[in-house]
Amino acid sequence: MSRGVVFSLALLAASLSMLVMARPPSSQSAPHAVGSEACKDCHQDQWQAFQHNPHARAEMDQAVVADQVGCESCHGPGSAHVEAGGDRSDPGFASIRNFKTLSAKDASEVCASCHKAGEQFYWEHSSHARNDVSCVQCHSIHHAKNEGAGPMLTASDVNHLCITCHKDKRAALARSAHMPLREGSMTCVDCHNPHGAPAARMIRAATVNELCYKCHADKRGPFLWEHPPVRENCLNCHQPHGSNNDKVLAGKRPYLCQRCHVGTRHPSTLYDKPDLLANRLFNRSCTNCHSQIHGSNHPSGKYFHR
Amino acid sequence: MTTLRLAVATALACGMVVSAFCPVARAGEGEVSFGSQWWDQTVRDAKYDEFSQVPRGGFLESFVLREWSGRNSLALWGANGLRSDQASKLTWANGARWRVDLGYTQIPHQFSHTARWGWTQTAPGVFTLPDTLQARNQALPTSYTPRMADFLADAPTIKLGFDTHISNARLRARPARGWQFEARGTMRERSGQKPYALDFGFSTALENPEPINQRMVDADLIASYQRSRLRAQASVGLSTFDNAISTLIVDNPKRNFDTKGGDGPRVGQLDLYPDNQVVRGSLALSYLLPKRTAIAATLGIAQGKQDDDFLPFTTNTLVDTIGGDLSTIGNKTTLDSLAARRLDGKTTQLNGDVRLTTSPVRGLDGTLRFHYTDYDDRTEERNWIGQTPYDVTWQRFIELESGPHGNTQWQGGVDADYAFASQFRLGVIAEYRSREREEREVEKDHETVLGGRTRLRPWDGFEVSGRYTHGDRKLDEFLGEDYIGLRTRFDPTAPGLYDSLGQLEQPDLRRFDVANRVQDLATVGASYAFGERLDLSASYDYLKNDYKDTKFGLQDETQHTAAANATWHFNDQVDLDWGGGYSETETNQASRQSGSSIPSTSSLDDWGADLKDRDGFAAAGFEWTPKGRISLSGRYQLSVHDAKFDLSNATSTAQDLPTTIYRRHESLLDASWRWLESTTVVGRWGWEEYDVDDWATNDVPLIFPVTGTATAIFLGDSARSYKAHRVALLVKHRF
Repeated sequence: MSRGVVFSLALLAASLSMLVMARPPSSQSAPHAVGSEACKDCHQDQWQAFQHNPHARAEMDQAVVADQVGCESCHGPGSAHVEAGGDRSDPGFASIRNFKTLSAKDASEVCASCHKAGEQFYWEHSSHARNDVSCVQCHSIHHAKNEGAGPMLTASDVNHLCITCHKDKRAALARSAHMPLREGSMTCVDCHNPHGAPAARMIRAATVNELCYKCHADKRGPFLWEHPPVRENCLNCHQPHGSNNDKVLAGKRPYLCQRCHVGTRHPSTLYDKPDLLANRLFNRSCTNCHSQIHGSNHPSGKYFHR
Repeated sequence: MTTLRLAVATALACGMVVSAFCPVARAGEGEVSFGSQWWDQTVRDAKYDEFSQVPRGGFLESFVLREWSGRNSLALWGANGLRSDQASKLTWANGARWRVDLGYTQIPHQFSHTARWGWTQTAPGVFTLPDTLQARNQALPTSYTPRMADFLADAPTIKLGFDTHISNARLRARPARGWQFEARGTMRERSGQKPYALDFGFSTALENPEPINQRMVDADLIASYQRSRLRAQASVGLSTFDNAISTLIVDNPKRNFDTKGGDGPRVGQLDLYPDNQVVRGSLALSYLLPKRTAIAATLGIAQGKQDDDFLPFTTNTLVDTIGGDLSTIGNKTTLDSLAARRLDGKTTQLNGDVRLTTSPVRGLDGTLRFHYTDYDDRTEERNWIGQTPYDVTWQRFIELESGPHGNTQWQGGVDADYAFASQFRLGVIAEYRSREREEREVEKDHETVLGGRTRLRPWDGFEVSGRYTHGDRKLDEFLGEDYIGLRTRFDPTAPGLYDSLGQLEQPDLRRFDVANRVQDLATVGASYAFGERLDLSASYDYLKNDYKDTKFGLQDETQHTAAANATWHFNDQVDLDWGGGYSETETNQASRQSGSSIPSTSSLDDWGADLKDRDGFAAAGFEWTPKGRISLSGRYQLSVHDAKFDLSNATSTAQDLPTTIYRRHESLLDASWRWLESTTVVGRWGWEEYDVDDWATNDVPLIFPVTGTATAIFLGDSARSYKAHRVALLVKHRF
């Protein structure tokens, strides 16, 4: 018998013995489920709020949800906690799951035991999961602040929730040219799936352009005459979170256009103060004439005039 | 157009009625908030109500109704009722098995309340002028500017804006454990008008109100199955775009009869966005392994189509498209002279994504990811004999191909983080990006991104994190022929306007989206939670894009952003919050100007632009809820943006453009009095001040320039400074 086999057997035996020793004394029974009614007396606010919660309805559909339903489906079996009778020094008191003390991964795993399809399909791979953001940082089962329409959020609306962490976006959304997020007609989750997505920045499409076409399908084409950087990435010219330039452009026209077009005739011209009375600088600048800048389907539209 | 909207509205109304009169024992609660508002604005600028309808008179601010009966629950929610920025949603759920969501949202988008337009719309998208006016302008072109100025001054104001009506429906079913089905659809209907321009002759712009009547439909069916560690999800979908007005036809104010050259045709024609359709499908599989390891793979395919009929080359009956040995193709501007009757555009997009997330040993987390997208434009290449870009002169080409512009992009990356202790984590980031495209001067480039990140939690509630990446993008090969001009004559000794006597673009130009680039990206953040009362957080972001090999074009871009937040739960009665930030973006670009069709080779023609955008942002709010009946809340927000245009040239004659400024103050104060146990009366005061100074959009005249020969007719939709006040009285009632 080789030394390796002996070593392996010894390691196995040691592991088994440790497992046996680690078992709880037979006199201490493992906590078991006692039902949600047992929670009602001490946690009246939470219990009451839970009755208004979609999860309370799910409780009645045991065939399609987890085996344990009600409070214990998330907090775990509560018999020991109940037996502790509020005595924090009793080891049984802490036997239930307290989401305030769980690690982000452990907390999210509880939610993911049911929510693992549809929107949450890519949760484990999301930037939020990887950066220790847990479900309960954004959602509250018992104390949602947007009881009306939203998915039990910890803030009054989605946008306010997101900018809590994404502070640079808060300033961007305040810029003069913006999409209707601060007015509440759009939310961050219209474009991003905070639960994860198979694309960079957790956008709700495989590419940026595909995402933009959901609302701007007019720009989808294909066109007879394409403007190549438009076809490749809308973000070459636009800043979707807000900009100081008309049409959320990344730069003011004509300077934005002149970053790529310095060719002969007027595109290369320096437009400075004396040229303020030039229609190539004023109003919509280059797009005063090249209005079909996203692409043209006109046989005479190669230069996006028609 | 309103079918689905009506259906949704009917369903919402039915939901309310059923919930109100349903005899089944149920529990329910709700809240409604309504009132009346007065407001005043010093100047009627559209920015105040760009995406909202500020109510004047009675208004319904919001309502919520929620009911439960056995396994059923119903929620009806609405905001801004009966206004052009309204939103409503009805949700019905039966246990965990069934859920139906119906929603309707209307989004206004106002561009201007001051725009004027003198043309008459005789049919959708067809704008005409009185023949007599056109005839006088043609006969007496020297008095064109004052005559049109008078005509436009008397023109009526027009609504320049559009509404988007979004109706959506979603059904989710979980018929058995492990199975989930979802059907969802969204219809967006857009109607109104927005500014759009065409030109007659070189450098004459005519801005028009483009009539919009568009419909977009998106629908998806998704099926998911999960068993043990396996999850699978399949979806099929459809997306369509229909444009009811696909052509803009506008009378030329300068011409009553067509002419070759000069001011061009009697009428011009613009091809508005063509209808298009996409069908798509995807399959995703995910498998959970031990050690918190998950692997997910997604494959998606989408096929697009666009086959709108082409318009003729030009509306100008005098422009002759016959020429050279192609004279047999057809005559003049008929469809027969086109290379095809329609594009028959076809695209196929293939998406693939594989992700592996794992935690193989305690403290170590890692992700491997690969994402692939191939946009294959399979539209046929066609040769065109020429074009008439502004319906004036025929440009005859030797070789002009309309080619497909497909592209392929993929990224592969790895992230790994190790927690040395619960207080300290360190991670590395590595990514490789590759892009390929057709018909451009750079057909392939690749980028390597390396970086790291760290997180420190020295004590409970305090966290500092940082992230830095360095990216190096290199183009594979530069194809100079892409910058060569088009040949417009058969005889090489008699060049045409765009003939290739050499480069059409400067050979040293590198377009920033495909140029060699070194990118440094850094983020630092800190947050501190002092118990449950005080939260402080701050962040700083840095971005530097350096296009080192670019002589002409964008040379560098530097961005700094700092932001901070604080929330303070002072006591049970007072809550305070504050947020602020500052951002600065500086770009440098260079060019060499040339007035002729031949690029200049003289460095004396060089010029540069150093543009600097600065943003400041601050917001503060408070809530005071004493134990009595009175409570107060208030919010103030300030955003300031300015842009500087520092222009220079080799001869030192360049003059800077004026700095542009956008500044907005907004404050809102609510004083609430709990009148009854479930009824509260709220007095509201709102103030907003908007200051704008922008040389491009301030005081846009109807005719431009206002003296001398006019080169443009605009809609006059200027950006304007304003002050606005509003006072409202609301009643909030819970039931």
